[in-house]
Amino acid sequence: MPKHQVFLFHGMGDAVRGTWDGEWVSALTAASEKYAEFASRPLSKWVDFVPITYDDLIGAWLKKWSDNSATLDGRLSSLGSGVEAIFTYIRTASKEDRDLFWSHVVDVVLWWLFPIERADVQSRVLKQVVSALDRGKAKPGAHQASVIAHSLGTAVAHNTLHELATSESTRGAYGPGHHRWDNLFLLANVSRVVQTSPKAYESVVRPGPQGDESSCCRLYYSARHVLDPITWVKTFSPVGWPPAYRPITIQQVSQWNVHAFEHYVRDPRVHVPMLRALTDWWMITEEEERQETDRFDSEAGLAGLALSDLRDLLPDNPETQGVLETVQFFLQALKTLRRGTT
Amino acid sequence: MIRMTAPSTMLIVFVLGGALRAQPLPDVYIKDPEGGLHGEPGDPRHLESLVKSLGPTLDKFDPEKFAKAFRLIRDGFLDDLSQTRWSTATEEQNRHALDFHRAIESVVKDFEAALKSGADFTYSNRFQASADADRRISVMYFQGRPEELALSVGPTRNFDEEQAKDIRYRAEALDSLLNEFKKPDRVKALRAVEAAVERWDRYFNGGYSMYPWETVTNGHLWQVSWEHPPQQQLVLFHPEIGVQISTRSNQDASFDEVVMIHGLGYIKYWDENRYFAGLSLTAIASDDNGFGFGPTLHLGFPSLSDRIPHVSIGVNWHDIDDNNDYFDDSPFVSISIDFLNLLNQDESKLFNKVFGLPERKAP
Repeated sequence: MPKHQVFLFHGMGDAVRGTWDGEWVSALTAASEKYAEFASRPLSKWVDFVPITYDDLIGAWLKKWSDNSATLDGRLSSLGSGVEAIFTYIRTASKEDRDLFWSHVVDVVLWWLFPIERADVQSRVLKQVVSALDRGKAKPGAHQASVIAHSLGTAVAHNTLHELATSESTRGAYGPGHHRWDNLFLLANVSRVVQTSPKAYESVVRPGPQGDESSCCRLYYSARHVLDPITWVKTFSPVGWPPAYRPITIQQVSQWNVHAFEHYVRDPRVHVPMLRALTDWWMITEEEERQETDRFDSEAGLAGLALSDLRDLLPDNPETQGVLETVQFFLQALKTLRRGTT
Repeated sequence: MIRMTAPSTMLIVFVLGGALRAQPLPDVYIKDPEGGLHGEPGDPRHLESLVKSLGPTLDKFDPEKFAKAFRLIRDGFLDDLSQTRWSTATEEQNRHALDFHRAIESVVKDFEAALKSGADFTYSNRFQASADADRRISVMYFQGRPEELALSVGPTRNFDEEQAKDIRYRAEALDSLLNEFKKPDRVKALRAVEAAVERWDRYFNGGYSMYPWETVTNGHLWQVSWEHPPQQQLVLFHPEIGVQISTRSNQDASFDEVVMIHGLGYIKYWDENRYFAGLSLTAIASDDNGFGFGPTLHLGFPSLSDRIPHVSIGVNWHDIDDNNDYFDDSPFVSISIDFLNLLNQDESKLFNKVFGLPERKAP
């Protein structure tokens, strides 16, 4: 049978490094090597990873604009949507804030508030996805496809999957009646924070049985770390979704940057269901799962994190967080996470 | 296309095994990454064998041939059901196998009905061997309603190994056939996505350049989707460098470098964003002639923008004699090219070669 196609959607600022997909695959492979069956049937034999990159486009726009005399500073007045407030804030922010904004948070802002940039990214992401799906489905045997997304990638994946299933030109081949994603793994899910249209709870990106026209996947896993501040605003927590929606909440800390992809997949509560879903359920025994979870819990611990201080930055109701407040909070969160890693 | 409405609405899960962790798994239950689900080459249940038995391959799309392939799978399964091959199966196992046959029969009927009516045939993983969260290996058949009927659950397998193999091989073959049948739709989707990317490339990367404040404004003004970029563009406080020349006399006809700001303008695209034309109201600042203003015409060919720069040609008036009357002097003609666009093309540019600009590297 053909390999399971696994589409990887990177998070904010990830693709700047250029090696993000290799790092992700290494993290998943390292997790799989803790279990005996993978010695004879390694992950690489099961899975065909398909990295979906969009950060390069955002980088190209920024370079295009910043290379010209009129920079992003100023001129954004009276445009609404919080854009003016964000850029006014950034112009007067500290150098550290400005650097973090341009390397990471600007991805979020452009995706969220710039419809033309978002649509341009979406068309190019869809091209990558549809090309790979077409290649996968052309191979003989049952085709399986899943998604692993992290941070901003969860929002990009959400919109992409919804558009793929519902747009006039693609639904004939990839609508819910024709194509069903096997598993979605959305880590540090921010699809509600930067939601546009449709909203994250109202789209077809939800789990459902075969033939259900209102859902596009079989299983939907959404993982969040309780100390990951990026997930505190408008936390993804749907009510009344079917049991095929599998929320995973983790709390052990094995490194300062609790938002990092690697930190999520290091936890057996995340990587065990993930590896089983991408290969087969019998690849990790219950005994192995229990032993690895015990070992991980004994080694990891709740470090003396200053993250709790971030709670003070949040208003009483993070559900109503405004655009500028969200950006400021993300900057503060990223700074806190980075300080711990240096 | 018309969507087929299935009259029968039932999801049937044929559970091939329960409590599988307690004993080694026979190969048939394993989703072996290196093959194994489709039978050995030469096995009549193997998809390739089925296709070969039909003569030329299915490469050339022929719905009737697909219908024949489906019938072959169905009939072959029915034949096996009555053969000694399954003599070890219990009565209950054979009953379950008959249910599977009914499932095949049903999908073949649906398929043929859809062919006759020209309706759309949905196929999402209709037959797919998979393991569920409780580690039961199953082959699913779905007819439309989100209800599930597990025919049997428990430690006793519902099929013997030969039956299980047969069901699995045929289910996989059916799944592949259905998948292959949808190939024309997949090709159509791929072409549509590629065309959308080209349209976006012409609008956003090859079209008249936009500064960030312009992209925000245009993004909220016009209908925007990944499939179709806007066919129009608002120009807003758009600075450009250009030259102007006086029309007063030949003696004054020297080029004068100017800074232009297209305050407000409108651009219309045609032919899927292949070319555009538009008009702006432009303010001009010149060292020699001071402030001026006038209309500017924008013209461009986005698909050729790496070779032919977009051009803006304007007519503008300056108060040269400082009498507060801009229109008592002959107008100037201004010309500019869309540097913002030109300098950011992906490919090597004629412009770069002509003007000796350094090659730009991707960010």
